[in-house]
Amino acid sequence: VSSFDDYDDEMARLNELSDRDLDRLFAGGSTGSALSDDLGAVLGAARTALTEAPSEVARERHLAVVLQEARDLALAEQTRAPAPVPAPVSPWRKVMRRSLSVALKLSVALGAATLSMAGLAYAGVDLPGNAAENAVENVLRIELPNQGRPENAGKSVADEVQAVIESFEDRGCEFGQAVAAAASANRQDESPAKDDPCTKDDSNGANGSRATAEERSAEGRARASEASGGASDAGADNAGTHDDFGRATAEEASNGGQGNGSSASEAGADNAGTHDDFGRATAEGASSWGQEKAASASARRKANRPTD
Amino acid sequence: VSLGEQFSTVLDAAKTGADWAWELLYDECSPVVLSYVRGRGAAEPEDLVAESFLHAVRAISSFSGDERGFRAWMLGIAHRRLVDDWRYRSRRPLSPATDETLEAAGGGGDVEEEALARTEGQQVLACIGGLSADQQDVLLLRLVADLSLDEVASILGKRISAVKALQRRGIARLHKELFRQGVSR
Repeated sequence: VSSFDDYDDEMARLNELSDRDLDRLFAGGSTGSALSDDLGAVLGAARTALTEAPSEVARERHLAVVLQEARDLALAEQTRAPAPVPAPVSPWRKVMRRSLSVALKLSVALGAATLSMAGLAYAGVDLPGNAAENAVENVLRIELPNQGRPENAGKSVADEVQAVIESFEDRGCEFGQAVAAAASANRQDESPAKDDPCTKDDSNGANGSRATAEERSAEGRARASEASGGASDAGADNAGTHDDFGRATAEEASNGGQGNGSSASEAGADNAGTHDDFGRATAEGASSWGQEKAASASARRKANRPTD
Repeated sequence: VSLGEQFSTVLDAAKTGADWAWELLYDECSPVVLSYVRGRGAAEPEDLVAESFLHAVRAISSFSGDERGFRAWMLGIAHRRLVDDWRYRSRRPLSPATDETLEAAGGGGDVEEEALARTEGQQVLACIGGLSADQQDVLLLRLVADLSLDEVASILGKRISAVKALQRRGIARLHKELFRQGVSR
């Protein structure tokens, strides 16, 4: 009876043997203990039962196949064409080939950079300074659209605006006009210049605008009264209507001009331009409106007057 | 049969397709390979031996090493052929052989005597067949090819610690089964 059968857990007993002991048992040796003797007997029986050489018939059959395959492979190896040996390349040719490659890469990179700069310049992108645009123009010998003129070469719009701001001490109407003109120097849809509002009767500032408004309103009032006088001759209804309308228009124009003028004078010099423009425009509107109405009433009066 | 110091010469000759070299290599390694595939329960162990050597002939140019390394290399080829054979047979069930085939294959002799001679070996094979597949691989490669734990782990694609555990469990189970059947004593 084996001592192995005394224990339920044979793995626990096997742990008594180290890996080196097991190696010795697999090699056919023994560690001297009863356990190793038992295991050695088991492994020996298994090895004896397993080890078996192929039969002679099988050996002959296998060798015939194997040797034929080996011969075929050896023959194929001998008849295989040798790999083509690359022709030796001179060092000078290697250097030239390498230089050509580097030059080609550089030219491609330069071309790509030039094209990208040209695209940005054509799109009107405002890069800091005009160096890129100038470089493109110099290289391609073309004049790009939407770029600064030669006298402005090397300066961007921002530089010009900054120069205008620094050159003005007074922050009046001329200052705003100059800044706007400098900022819009690179616009593609440049519209024709309009009348300069700063040159219209603004030499006197707020007082001047108030005086102009009063003059305009007085003129309108005179024309309105003239129109109302003519209208009374033509008939009570028509004359009354035109008279009232003309008078109301004149008073409204006068009030607007005076109000705007006074508020502009209180606001100070900075806002004078704005109110000045508003008052002047209102007065001009009132004046033209009164003139038109007066002319219309006069014509209508002449038409309604009975012929003698 | 061990080739010893002349192994490198034999290997070089085998790479050039020399018949004598391949005969020596076959005689040295075929018993180990046959024992392994037979112990693993291959349906046609001798056919697998021939197939393994055919693959060795085609791949011999890629091998470099000593005699022990060549044995491990051959068993690795046999292991892969064995796995391929199992897959192939699992997809295509075998048809039973005809009477004519059996008569042609029969070698004659005393069947009863052969059966008695093989009784103990068949019992050992049956006990080994009762182990798990991984335990069978480890014990067979250690027993019949005398490979180290490192070589077994390399062939099976496992860690050495896993191979050690499989070896201990396999030995314990085989010992229990063999003693229960009274094979070794």
